[in-house]
Amino acid sequence: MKLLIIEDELSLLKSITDFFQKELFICETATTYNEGLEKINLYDYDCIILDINLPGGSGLKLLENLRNKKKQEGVVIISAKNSVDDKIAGLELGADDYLTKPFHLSELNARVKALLRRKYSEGTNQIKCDDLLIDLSSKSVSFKNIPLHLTKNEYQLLIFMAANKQRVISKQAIAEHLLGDQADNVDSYHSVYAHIKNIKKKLKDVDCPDCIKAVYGLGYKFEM
Amino acid sequence: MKLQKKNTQFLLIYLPIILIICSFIFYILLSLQINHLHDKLLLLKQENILKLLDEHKREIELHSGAKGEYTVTEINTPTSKKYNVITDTSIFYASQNKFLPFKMLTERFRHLGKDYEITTYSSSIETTHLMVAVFSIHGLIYIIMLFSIVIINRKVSEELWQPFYETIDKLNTYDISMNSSLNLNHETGVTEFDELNRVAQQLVTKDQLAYQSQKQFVENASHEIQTPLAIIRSKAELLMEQPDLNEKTAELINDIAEATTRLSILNKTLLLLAKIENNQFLDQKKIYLSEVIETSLTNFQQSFDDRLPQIKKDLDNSSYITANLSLIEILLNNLIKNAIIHNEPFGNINIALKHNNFIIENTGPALTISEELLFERFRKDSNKPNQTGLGLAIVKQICTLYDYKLSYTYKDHIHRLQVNF
Repeated sequence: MKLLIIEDELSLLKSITDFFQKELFICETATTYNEGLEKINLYDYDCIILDINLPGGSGLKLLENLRNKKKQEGVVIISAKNSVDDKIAGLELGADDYLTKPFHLSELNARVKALLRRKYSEGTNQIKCDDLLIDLSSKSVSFKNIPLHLTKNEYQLLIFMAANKQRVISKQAIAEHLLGDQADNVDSYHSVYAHIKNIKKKLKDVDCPDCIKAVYGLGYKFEM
Repeated sequence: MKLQKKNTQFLLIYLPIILIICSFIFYILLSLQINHLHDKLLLLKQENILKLLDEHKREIELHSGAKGEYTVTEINTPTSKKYNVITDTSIFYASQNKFLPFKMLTERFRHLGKDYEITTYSSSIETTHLMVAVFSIHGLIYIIMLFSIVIINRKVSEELWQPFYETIDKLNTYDISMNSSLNLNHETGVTEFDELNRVAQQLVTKDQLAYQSQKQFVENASHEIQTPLAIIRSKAELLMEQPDLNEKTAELINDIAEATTRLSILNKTLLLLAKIENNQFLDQKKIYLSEVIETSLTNFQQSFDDRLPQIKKDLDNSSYITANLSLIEILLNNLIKNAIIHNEPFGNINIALKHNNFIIENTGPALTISEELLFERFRKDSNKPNQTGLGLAIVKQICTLYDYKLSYTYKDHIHRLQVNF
C-alpha cells in the first residue's frame, strides 16, 4: 500500500511515517502545498493523509485539485481546526475522513485501514485475524465459525484493536475511540477496563486464545 | 443625589442668602434716600417760612407756628444747641391720644434785630409706612423670583441634560459580549455632550477591539496548541512500542500520555467556550428536549455502566425549543454528567422536565467553593484534579447566549440545578 503524507510539521510527519512504515506501508511525504501538488500529479497512491494548513496553500485546495483530476485516492484530513464548517467543506470536497489534532496514531491507523477496506473490498467486507472473523457488512464476529455476541461498543473496540494488530494501543486512544468527546476523565478508563474485560471473557468462552495483552498499564496489544 | 435635586438644593441655599444681603443693601439705600427726602422737605419748609416772614416785615409773635409744621421762638441767650441737624422727635396728638414720630430741623435766624429759632417738622410715620409697603412688595417679588428661578432651572436642566441621559441609557444597555454596535449622538447641540459621546464611543470601540482580539486570541491559541499536542501524543505512542520498554519507562510514558489527554481536552473545551462566545453556532432548529435527554442518558449508561447512580426521570415529551442542536446537547450532557460525577456512592439523580423547565438533582455533600463561583471557569473541587472545571462554565455560557435562566440551590444534601428554557 502506498501512502502520501502531506504535513508541514516535520516532527509530526516523522511520527506518522514511522508508524505507518511499521504497518508496512510505503510512505512518501510532502511538506508544502507545491510539493504535495507535484506528488499528487505525478504518482498514484492508495491513501493520502492531508493537513489543511500548509505553506503555500490550503490542503482543501489540494483535495479539490485531486478530485478534479478524477483521482480515486482515499483522503484523510488531519487538521488543527475542529470546526464543523471545515469538516463539512473537507468531506464535501471528497475527503473520506476528518481527524482533528491531536489525534492518536492508532486512531489514524484505524481510519486509514477502514478507508482502504471500503475502497478495496468488493462485496466481502471482512477482517480476518487468524481464526477470528469480523464481518463488517453483517456486523458479526465469529471464532472458528462460532459466533460471538458482542455489544455495539465491544464490537467497535474489537475492530479498532484488529486494525491496530500487534501495536500498542494506549488506553487514552481506546477511551477516545469509544466515548468520543465524552472521554474526559479518569472515569473513562473504567469504561475501557470494563469493555476489555468483557471482550476477553467472551473470547475465552469460545476457546479463543488470550489475544489481548495489557502493556504495563499503558494500554493493550492485540496479538493474533 | 440626582443632578437636578442637587442643583435645586444649591439654588435654595444660596439664592435666599443673596436675596437677604440684597434686601439689606436695599434697606440701607432706601433709608438714606428717605433721610435725604426729609432733609430736603424740612429745608424747603424752613426756607418758605423764612421767606414769608421776610416779606411781612413785622414782629413775630412769640411761640408762633403750626402744630406738626413749624415753631418759631425768640432766643435771648446764645445756646450750644446744634443747628441744621435732623433729629427725631415725637408730638402728642390728642385726637389719636398718642405720640407720633416726626423729624425736625432747627435753625437760627435774625429778624428785625432779634434772634429767633425756627424748627420745622415732617411726619416720619408716612415714610415708615412707605418703607413697610415697599419691603412687603419686595419680599413678595423675591419669593416669586426664587420659585421661578428654581422651576426654570429644573425645566432647563431637564432639557439640557437630555442628551446626557440618553447616553447613559445607551451605555447601560450596551453589552460588549453581544457584539452589537453603540451609536451615540455626536450632534446634540451641546459641545460638552458631543465631546462626552465622542470619547465614550472611542472608548467602547477600543474595548470592542480588545474584546475581539482577546476572544480571537483564545481561539487562535487553542488552534496553535493542537499541533504540538499532536506531536507529543504521537511521540508518546511511538515510545510505547519501543522493544526495550520496561515498567519504569512505561509509567513515565503513561504520565505523559495522560497529561497530554488532559491538556487536549482542556484545549478543546476552551475552544468550545470561545466559539460559543463568538456566536459561531448559528444554525438553529426545533429540538425536543426529552429526546436529547434520553440520548444523553443512553450514552452515559454505556460509558458509566454499573457505576451510574440511580436515575429517576419525569420528562414531558412536548417541551421543545429552537436552538443549535450541538449546544443544547452539550448543555444537557454537561448537566447530567455533572450530576453523575459529583454524586456520592449509592447516590441518586432526579431529572424532571416540565413546560421547558429542566431540573436536575443529585445527592452529594455541600460545595467546597462558594455558590457564586460554581459557574466560573476553572472552579472545581480540589478532590477531582482530572476535571477541567469548565463543564458548568460552558452551561452558563450557553444559557447566557440563549437567555435561559440558570439557577442552583442546595438543600437537604441535594444539589439542584435548574434551567428555564
